[in-house]
Amino acid sequence: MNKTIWKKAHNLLGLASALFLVMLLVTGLMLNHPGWMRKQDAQKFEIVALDPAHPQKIFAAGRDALYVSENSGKDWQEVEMLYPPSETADIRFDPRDPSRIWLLERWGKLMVSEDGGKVWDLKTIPFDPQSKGVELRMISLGAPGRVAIVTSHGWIRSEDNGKSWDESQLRLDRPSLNRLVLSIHNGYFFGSRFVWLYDFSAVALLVLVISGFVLWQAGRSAG
Amino acid sequence: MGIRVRHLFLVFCALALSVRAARIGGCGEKQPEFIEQVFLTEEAAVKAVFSENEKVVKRTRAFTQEQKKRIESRLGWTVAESSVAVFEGYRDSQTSGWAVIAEEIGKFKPMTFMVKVSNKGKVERVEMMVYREPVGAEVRRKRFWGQFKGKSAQDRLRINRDILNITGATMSVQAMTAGVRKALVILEELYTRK
Repeated sequence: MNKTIWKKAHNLLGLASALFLVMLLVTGLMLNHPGWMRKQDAQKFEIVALDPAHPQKIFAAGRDALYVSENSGKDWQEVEMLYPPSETADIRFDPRDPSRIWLLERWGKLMVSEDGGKVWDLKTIPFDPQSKGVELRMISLGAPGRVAIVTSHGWIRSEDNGKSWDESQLRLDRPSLNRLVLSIHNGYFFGSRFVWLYDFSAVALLVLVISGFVLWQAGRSAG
Repeated sequence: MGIRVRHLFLVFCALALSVRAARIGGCGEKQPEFIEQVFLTEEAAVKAVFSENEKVVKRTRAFTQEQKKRIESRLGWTVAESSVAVFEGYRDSQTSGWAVIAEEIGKFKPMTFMVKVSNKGKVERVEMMVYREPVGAEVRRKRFWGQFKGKSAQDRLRINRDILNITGATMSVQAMTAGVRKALVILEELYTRK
């Protein structure tokens, strides 16, 4: 086969790989630092809950706050909360008393309001989701006082509105392979400071790609 | 050159693994669940936030039902306390400011700190008194609490918008921010509300 064709294919594939690598590096850096993207995502709603008692009223959770609309979503107001929720996983209205609203953070707190979302309070969860690597996913409300929280490692149940919890269905000792792989991939496995080392390596690779491209161009123009 | 790069890579791997081992309590050493660090006693905190020429009087102020309702409504949060101990500062018999001891849960345990507010209702100082978590004590540094200086009860104090977060100490940042906001609203309701 013609040597020139191989060389052209090699150059083309090299360039495509370099662009692919740049894309991976940039997106990897951004994924490791979600705060960089947070500004533009701040107003995006991740969870929406329609108030069953007030047809016009809607609650919606953004990344770092809870919002309420009294006119079917035309206007939104941030709900004043001493601990605004971040990364909300679920919002539930008590089917028997819709003025009681439950809110669950993906990696943190369980909150409840008894007055339709004006004043909130914390409910204690028997473990720290973040340090245990347990993702909180969903709230389920049953008979009066019965609450369950579905997590990535099983579920917990309360018979007294979240004062005490039955953890028999929770498997905290079961390691999450997905989380382990993810934490090795992003550097958090070794500690939060190692993420910056990963970033440094990513930037170094980026410089290698760019300098390689520049050298290749210089070589071409030199003949 | 190849050997050097290989050595560097091995050193990096060894370092990363040893850091990881230390974090999960390698060598049989178990990390304590919490460490209580007392930075200031109540008396020392009062001395730190008030100047020498201010006379300080400690007074317990109980909330009326109406005040409590208003505080809860403004904070959007339940207030468990029915009263608060306020350190009132006087200079030449004029009120110069107030300070309260705030206690908020960080990750597992409460942190105790003093918030000093001027007679104009603006934060002047925040002093950590007792910290009870193994991580996150960075919030006691002036570089962090300095962000609260000049803030009043009218400021929402939203993390990542009004107050910069500290990576790895989010819970402590949330707790201190909540404590300062609560102190500002309570002091305004008790003293400066017209």
